[in-house]
Amino acid sequence: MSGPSNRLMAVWRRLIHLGRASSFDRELEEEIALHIEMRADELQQEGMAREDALARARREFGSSLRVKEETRAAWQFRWLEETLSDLSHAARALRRNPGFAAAGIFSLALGIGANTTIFSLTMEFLFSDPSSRNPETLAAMRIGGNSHAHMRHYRFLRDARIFPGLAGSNEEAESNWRYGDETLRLHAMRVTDNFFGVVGVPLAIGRPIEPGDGDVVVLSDRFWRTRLGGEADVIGKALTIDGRPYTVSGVLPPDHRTVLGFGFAPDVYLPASRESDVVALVARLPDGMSLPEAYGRLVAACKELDKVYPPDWNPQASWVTNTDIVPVAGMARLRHLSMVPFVAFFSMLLIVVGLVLLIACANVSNLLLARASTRRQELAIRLALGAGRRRIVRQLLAESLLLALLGTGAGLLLNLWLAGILNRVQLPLPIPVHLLIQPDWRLLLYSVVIAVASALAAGLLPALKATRGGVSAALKRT
Amino acid sequence: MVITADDIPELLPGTLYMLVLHALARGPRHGYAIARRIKDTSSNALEIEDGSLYPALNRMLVKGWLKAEWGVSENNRRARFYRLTADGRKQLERETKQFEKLVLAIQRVMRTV
Repeated sequence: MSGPSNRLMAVWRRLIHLGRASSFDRELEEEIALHIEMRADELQQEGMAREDALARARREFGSSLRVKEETRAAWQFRWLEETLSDLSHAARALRRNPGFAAAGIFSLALGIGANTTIFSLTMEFLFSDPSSRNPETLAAMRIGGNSHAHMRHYRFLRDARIFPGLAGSNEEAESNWRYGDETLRLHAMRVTDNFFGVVGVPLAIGRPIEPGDGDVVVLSDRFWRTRLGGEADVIGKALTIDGRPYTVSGVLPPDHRTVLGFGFAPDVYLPASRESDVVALVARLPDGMSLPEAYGRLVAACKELDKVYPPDWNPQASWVTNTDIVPVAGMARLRHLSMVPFVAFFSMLLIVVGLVLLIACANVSNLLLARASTRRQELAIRLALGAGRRRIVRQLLAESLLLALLGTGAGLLLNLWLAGILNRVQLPLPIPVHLLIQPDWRLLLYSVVIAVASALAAGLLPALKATRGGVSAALKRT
Repeated sequence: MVITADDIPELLPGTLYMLVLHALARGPRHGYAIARRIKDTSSNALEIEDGSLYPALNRMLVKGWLKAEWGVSENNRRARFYRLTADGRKQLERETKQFEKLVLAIQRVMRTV
């Protein structure tokens, strides 16, 4: 009965026991009292006086305190409780030495704060998905080496129905917005009327731009709040943009991320209704279609396009040249050639902050070493009293783990603060870029890994060194 | 055979579980009755140290060999009764077999001149 399921059941029984620990103590006391009394009854029957019988029974039973202790131990999680006691011992040690603790925590907080912030930034740039339904089946397309296609080419490909959905957007649209007597510049994203439907962009309020819509506008949360007061009755109001009245149909949620990614954040979405507009193409692929398959379909459609609209720069050329299709989300996006510089850049950043953290760990390691030399006597005595080396190493590691956890906590505060600054900062770029760094489970998981890694990096060497050589060496060093 | 207190042998290590399981094989008993039963059936030769009985009973509860229920003792007192579970019965069988093998082997060794 030592199978894993039985061991699991034992853990389960112990967990249930935790819930009734207080009644357990009372019941055990009652049980022991009964045991002693029954023995006393027996002795009394043999002719002993009641008082003597009770005293004898008690003596026979031995220390009820020790029995209670051992019985309680049967139900305890030994490892967990030892760890907890290690941690509380470590907490006391740190409190006794606030200067050391502060230096260690500060050092780790800086290293971990920098590290996790770059991690958050990397996640935002490389791994954040656009706000859309099933981003993994969305792909950006380029035909004939052009980032944008003319409307007539877009319509030809859309009507060829090579994919379940094909939409277009133009992100380079500066527009003038007439606001009272002022004219303000705003950054509009012009999208084909089916864009919101194909991509599946979620809205906070109102409805998106839909096929057949005339002059409607969808606002970003930022624009709505900062320029229009954030009132819900904005829906249906008219904005004069580039001299034309547009009716507000909807507002995007605050965490909206564009298909383009990289924090690109236009103020408004407008319909690309002019024939002179050019659009970058985005396709909704059928579920399970591979990229080469999609590419095959696109190439076939480009050959058809050649017959109807030969490339305008050279009628002998073909749209097939330099045609490609790139996923907009997930790992598949990163594997594309055009992403290599970004991946390399962020990898380098991560390595740099990794080194910063390593320096912080080395720093704390030095502090621990210095402290270990002042604690030699304590350690020597404990070794001499028979404490195992493993137990003492564990104790010392608990201290560095506690230090690392506190450092990580402080580092995460630093991370939130820095991320807030990064989110607010207006980058001096011709296009609006607003980062949307949010703490998430990835950051939490990463921080835990970092905390444990730093605890080991900073604590293992000093702990091993402090206990090397056993009792005699430890005593000699004192 | 008269056995004085000094003659009471210490329990062979590892046999306490087996003795307790065996004492419960014919029905639930409370802690004192278990100790009493082992003492009686061994003609007072074996005595479980009171201090080790309750930790052992609780370890066996954790292992799932026993279940404990509150009931009323023969002298009308509230008492905790221990009962074998199916796992406990299997464990008893296994330990008994192993123990018999061990005893036979030791006897064989000791009888070889």
